[in-house]
Amino acid sequence: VTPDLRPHIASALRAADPEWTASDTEQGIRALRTRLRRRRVGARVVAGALVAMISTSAVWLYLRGSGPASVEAASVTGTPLLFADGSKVVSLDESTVISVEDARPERIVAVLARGRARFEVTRNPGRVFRAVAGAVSVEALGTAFVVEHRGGLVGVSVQHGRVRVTWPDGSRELGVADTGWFPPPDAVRHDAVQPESAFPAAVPSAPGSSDGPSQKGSSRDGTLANSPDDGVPAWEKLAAAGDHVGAYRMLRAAGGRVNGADELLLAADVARLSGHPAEAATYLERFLREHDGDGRAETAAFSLGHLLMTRLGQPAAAARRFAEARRRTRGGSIDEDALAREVEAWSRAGDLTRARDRAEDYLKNYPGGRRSAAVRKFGGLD
Amino acid sequence: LNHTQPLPSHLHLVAPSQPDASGSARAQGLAALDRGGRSVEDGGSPVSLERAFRSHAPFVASVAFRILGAREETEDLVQEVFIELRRWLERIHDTAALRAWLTTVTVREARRRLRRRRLHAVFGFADALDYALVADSTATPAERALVSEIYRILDRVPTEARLAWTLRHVAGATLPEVAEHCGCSLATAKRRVARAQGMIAEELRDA
Repeated sequence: VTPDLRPHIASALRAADPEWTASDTEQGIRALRTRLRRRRVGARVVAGALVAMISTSAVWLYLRGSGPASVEAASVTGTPLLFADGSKVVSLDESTVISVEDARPERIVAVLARGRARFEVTRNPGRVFRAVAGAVSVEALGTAFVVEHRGGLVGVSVQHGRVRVTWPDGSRELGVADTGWFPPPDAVRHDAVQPESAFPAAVPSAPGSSDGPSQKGSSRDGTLANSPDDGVPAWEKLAAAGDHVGAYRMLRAAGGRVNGADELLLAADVARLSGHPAEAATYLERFLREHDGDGRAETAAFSLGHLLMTRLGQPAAAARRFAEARRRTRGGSIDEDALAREVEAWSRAGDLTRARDRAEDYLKNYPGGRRSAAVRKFGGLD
Repeated sequence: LNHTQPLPSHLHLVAPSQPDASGSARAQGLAALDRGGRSVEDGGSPVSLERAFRSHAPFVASVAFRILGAREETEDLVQEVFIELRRWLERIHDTAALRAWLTTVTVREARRRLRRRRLHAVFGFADALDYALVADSTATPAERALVSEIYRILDRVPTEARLAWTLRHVAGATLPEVAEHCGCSLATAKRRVARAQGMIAEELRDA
């Protein structure tokens, strides 16, 4: 935009405002409640229809055969075993043998004698759903998980919800995306039947499936941290999906190890957006130390300065990072912002001389700059 | 855009206007935003949806309105953003992160609506928007006309460039913030802003 038009445009655009009032907020809250209520009702209608459909299938299955209490079924891959409450068990390979030990309204127990199966459990706090495989039992309330029974070990992979895994001398809760082999390594007796290869990373995977617990990469506690198929760490996938809290948890479970410039920047974002600014700062510092020549270093230095000032209460260190961002950008587009932030940071650090010096630099370099008022204030030039 | 306030230490996007004497929700909302971190009222626990709406709806509305230039669509967008927030609320424990998250979701939802508008225009279903109402009551007639003209030009600017330019020049975001909220690199953000700026300059020259 030509210089003579810019002030007019800037002035005019300042007037672009929705003029949102207290009354708009109250109306908005009422509308939000109504909208949420409608969506809940809609979801219940859909869920009700699904439950009715599944129940009908279960009744049909029961009437057709011997009834769920004596079912030794689902040994055909993909054939679901349906329960009256909508829960179901799907066999994931041809060797799978499942039997139903108990199927009452308050308690369902399915026994996985061998093979792999996915359990999709309808949420019902009044009913216990238990999958038993050898000495390990997995108890769930409203969840979906895969159980694999191989050579005395049981792999569990949670797809949503939570489960409690119990073995003879211990138990553990697993959440979304958690996977593991049980009993864990230190609980396995030496004389127990071992899978064909070393425990647990090389436990053989089920043929033709990638959604079970047979994944590569494992942490010390047997919880597997990498995704099964493409080698991209699971935390990166979660981060890409916007689940920064989940990604952070996964990153920690994997020991917090990241390599390369891209991973360091992503890890910094994950830590920052999941509420761990100190760790975000550590990743950014490492990025700057190890990738000095990277074109993103100026932005990294700026972000680090911002974190140090606004989240970590270290304004002097922040000021130095803003100065570093300016040095790296060499008059580039973030120079103005970095200089203004540096003024603020020195002011917050109590170094009024430097704050004033930088403020004078700003006003000289950016006369009429959009941070001028704040720079004057923090630089003590008002 | 308020350039007379101190540098916002927590806000990524600059608050849209001064608190007014009538103590409007806009003023209260921005004051709450400016506090950053968890509020005393929250007792250190994650904010409730209603409380989040009271605190942040004015901010979301401001960002959305400046992108879309349409009041009705803005109200609808605000609702959608907070419905989305409901699914994530328990995981967000820091209102500073919440604000950045809200901005990103607002931009994403606005992008969807701008694309839908274009599609409707292609098939001739689009309603004509009256951008004369974009400027607030304090604007002079000349400012009102200029704002209206700019938004008409923005309708012809590619969506991504429009988002970047609006965030930069209307909502007052820095280029790194524009890149963050648009989900692109800093270089791409700069390129998009420059592209929109070039189109606006050209059209204003021709006008």
